[in-house]
Amino acid sequence: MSATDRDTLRSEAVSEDADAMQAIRARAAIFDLLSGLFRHAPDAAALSALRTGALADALADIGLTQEALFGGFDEKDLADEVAVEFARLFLLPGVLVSPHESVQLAGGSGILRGPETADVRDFYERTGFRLADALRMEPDHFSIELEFLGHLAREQAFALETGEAACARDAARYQREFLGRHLGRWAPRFLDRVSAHPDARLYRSLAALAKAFLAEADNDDSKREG
Amino acid sequence: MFDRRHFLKLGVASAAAGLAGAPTLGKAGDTLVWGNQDFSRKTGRERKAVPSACYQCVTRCPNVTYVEDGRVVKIEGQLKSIRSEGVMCAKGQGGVNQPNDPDRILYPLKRVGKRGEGKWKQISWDEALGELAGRIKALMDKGEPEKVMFQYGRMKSSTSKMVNTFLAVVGTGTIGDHTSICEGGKWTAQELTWGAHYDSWDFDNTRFVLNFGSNVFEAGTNHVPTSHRLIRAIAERNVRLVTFDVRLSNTAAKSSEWVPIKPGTDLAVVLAMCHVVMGEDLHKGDGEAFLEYCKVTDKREASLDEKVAALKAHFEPYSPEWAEKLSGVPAQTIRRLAREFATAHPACVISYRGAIAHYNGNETERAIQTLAAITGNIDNPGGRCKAIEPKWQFPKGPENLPKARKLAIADGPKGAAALPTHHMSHQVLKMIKDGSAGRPEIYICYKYTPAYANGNVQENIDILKDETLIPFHVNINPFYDESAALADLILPEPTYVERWDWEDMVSPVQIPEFYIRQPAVKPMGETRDFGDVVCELAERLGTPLGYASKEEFVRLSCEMTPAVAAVGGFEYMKQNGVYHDPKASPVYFSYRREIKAEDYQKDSVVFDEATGVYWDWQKAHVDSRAEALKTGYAHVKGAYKAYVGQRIGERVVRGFPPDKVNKSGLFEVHSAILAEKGFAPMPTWMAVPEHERMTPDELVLTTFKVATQIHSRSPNCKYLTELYHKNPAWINPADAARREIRDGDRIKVSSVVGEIVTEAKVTPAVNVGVIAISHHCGHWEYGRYASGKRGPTATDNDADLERIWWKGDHGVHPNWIIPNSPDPINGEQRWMDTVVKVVKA
Repeated sequence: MSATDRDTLRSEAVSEDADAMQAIRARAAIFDLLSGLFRHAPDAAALSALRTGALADALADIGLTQEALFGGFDEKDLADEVAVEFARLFLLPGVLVSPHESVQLAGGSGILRGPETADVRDFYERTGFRLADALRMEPDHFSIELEFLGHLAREQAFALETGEAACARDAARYQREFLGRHLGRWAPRFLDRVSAHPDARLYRSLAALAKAFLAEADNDDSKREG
Repeated sequence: MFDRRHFLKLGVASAAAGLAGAPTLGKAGDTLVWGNQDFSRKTGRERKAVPSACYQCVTRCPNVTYVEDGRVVKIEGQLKSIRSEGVMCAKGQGGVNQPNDPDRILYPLKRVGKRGEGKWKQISWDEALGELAGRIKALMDKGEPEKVMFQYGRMKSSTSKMVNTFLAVVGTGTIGDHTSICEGGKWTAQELTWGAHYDSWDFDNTRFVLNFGSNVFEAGTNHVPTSHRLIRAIAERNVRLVTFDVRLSNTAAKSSEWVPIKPGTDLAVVLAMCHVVMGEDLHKGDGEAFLEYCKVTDKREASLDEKVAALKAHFEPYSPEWAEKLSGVPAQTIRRLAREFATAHPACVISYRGAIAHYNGNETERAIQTLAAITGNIDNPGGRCKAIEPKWQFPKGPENLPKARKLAIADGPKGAAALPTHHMSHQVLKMIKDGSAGRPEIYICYKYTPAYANGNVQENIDILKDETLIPFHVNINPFYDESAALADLILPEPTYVERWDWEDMVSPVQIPEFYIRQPAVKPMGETRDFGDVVCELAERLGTPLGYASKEEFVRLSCEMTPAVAAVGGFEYMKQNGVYHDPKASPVYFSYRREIKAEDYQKDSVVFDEATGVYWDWQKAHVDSRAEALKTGYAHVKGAYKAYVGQRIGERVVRGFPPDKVNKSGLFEVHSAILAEKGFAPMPTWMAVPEHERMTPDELVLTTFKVATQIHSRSPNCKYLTELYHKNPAWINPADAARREIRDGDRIKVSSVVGEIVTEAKVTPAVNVGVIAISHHCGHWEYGRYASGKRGPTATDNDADLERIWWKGDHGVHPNWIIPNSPDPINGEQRWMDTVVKVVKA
């Protein structure tokens, strides 16, 4: 093999790595975005990002146009209306769709703070994470599970960047395992329920986005695994 | 929904939008933690933290041992400990290698070929203990239990109690220790002056520290608890530390002043300092007040004036100019430092083997005690204090056992030392060879390596190899060391991170600290704690000890010890590792405490006119009061155990209770006991005879320890041995030039007992006339990290075995050329006196 061949191979390898890193970073960012949107009702700043600029464009590209997201809302009271929707979907007893694994998992305990919650916490801890002491949410809240995957994806990207292949492999494996054992097992059903909720408007679209994205993440992972 | 382009675009836009919520999850290991928590580097997950205790050196600091995947991965200091305050030395941290040593012994082994040939077969514990118990039983049945000899090294605390109970069951008093190769001499000198041993140095409160031959920053009996306090005193309070040493140790280097001194002459300097103190009346004040509690003439109740006059007269000949001629220390330095020490009140004078392991070591320590006494720096805040340790209660085992019988071999040849109160371990093998006091048929060796740790190594090996001298040698050991290699039966012990114990080492803050050692992981292989083994052996001999394991013994002790039981006993100790009474005050001036009249006016207590001691004649097993009065306290064997108090004027005080010898309760600068043995009663100059006869081409060999190794039992720790594995001989450039020796040259060092070839380190950091070689190195067994040699049950489960870059460079053991030779008073091995010739090899 000539020196030029080696250089070509090396640069191909480098660009492959760079591509992979870009995709992983994108995945981390989308996990973060969804985590934020499913944790609290979007505030004015968040709504503005969803309505204009790069994020709105990118969402439109995949079919989540402004109409799809915000059609039917009263422009004037948008923030309030979204907040009310969020509360009815996720907070109000009697009507909510609980955003927790222990409640939503088919064949699971069905109770809030169930054994599944402990398993999730244990998974975080086994992979070196610790929940903030002041956290007033359950560890298996949809948004925290998404946040966790975001952290792992960022760790994977960072490990690739610093040449720590073993760490990168570990971070990828933890994501696959977490999707396989936890989020992937309950999120589709949960998101379907959100979509089907009579009060869902913005979150119908966001649920569709989350479902498609998780399916993609799952697929992507299984491809790499195979 | 997603193609790659859209996905990436959404990713970038999402990142830019920054809509992620505040993070609720953080990397656990990134949390800044100060408080005995640790995190896996692999997974980031918090590691299991087990509060336990170190056993690398005798200091036995409380530690926290971290476990990951069933393996000990890290050890650090216990923050709750008042002794160590969370500090842990390199050796303690390197203890992580002990359980993971690929050369450790994991199964009972029985010799197959000739002794020392290295041929072994694995046997079951049942077979091993069956054979050992059978042999012991046969001797017991013959009425010769004394032919079971037990010799131990660093056996302490709960293990010591259990094993001694077992030996009492056997009925043997043929028990040897290792103390005379360690610090026994220092202890004897303290027993002669203020009673029981262990001095505690109160660095937290001192204003000045005067150091004779202690490498306190690198090693020592209470190493980290004292050293980190001394560093703090220097750094935060500008306390001055002045170190007399033949070598620029790291302690000397970190001192305010290093005063190089000729080996074996510390005594001259200390006597000269006493001369200055008394001559210039610097004793006035606290020193003078303390004289009330001192005996400085042969009269028990001398007046203060008489005492002062006697001290002035005694020290008068020892002028600094006289000491300069012997020690090489300028008279003006001695004078200046004596004045500084006497006036910097409180000040602390410390000492260790550099000063003590000499022919005149006993007198050196007595003189140092005297210097502290006449300046009022005894048992006071900031001075040289009597050590405080926790008092554990424990199950006493079977009662009414027959009196033990013993072979008189533990104290060396008759007359070799006058008062070997901590025996003469370095003479034991010689005594066995000599045979005139009888020979053991079973020699059990525990936490002790006679082959390596004593002087005159070749002689040790020859005797241990000889089956006619030692018919059966049992070695209890986690590792295949130089002595295990010469055994007939090896009983593998777990390493200290896999064992139970309660612990009791002294506290530098004068408040006792209770602590335990507990297994951080399961013992590896078939290793069994010797504490458990003696329980089974006793059972096999038909007299069970009353507990079945060390864990049970520790649990029972926790329940029986009121202070520990009150806070939750065993469970509390397992969870916390350490306990001290938060309301306790430091103990100082305990000698001033008055004894209640009812305690010394009991029928069984008599007053001894000669010494002023109240003692309990019944407790001393004397037949009658009349006999007790007639024989007198000083001449009843073991009367010190029956000491009650000391009369001083009209008061009866606790004084300085005696231990090992029938000393009075006074602080004895003047020792009637020594006078009776034919030595000077007051600390008096004694020259080292061999040094008097030295020719100009000879040097004095001294030994030392470094900060990263313990004496002989750590070179299997790869982290430590990577740092320190060779020990070149330090020689001064002037001495080297005279012999045309350059740095790095091979040199031959020879003494009356042999020669070694080693490497020269030419450095002005050692005094002229001295060659200094450290301990630790030159192992010929102890596994691949220490010696390059595989243990008999070695495994290859350690990738670092491929990375031993110091292969074939394991240093040279100095003990091959150091004779086993005692201080004539206390029997301490004279590590620092050997006269050698040094030439280019």
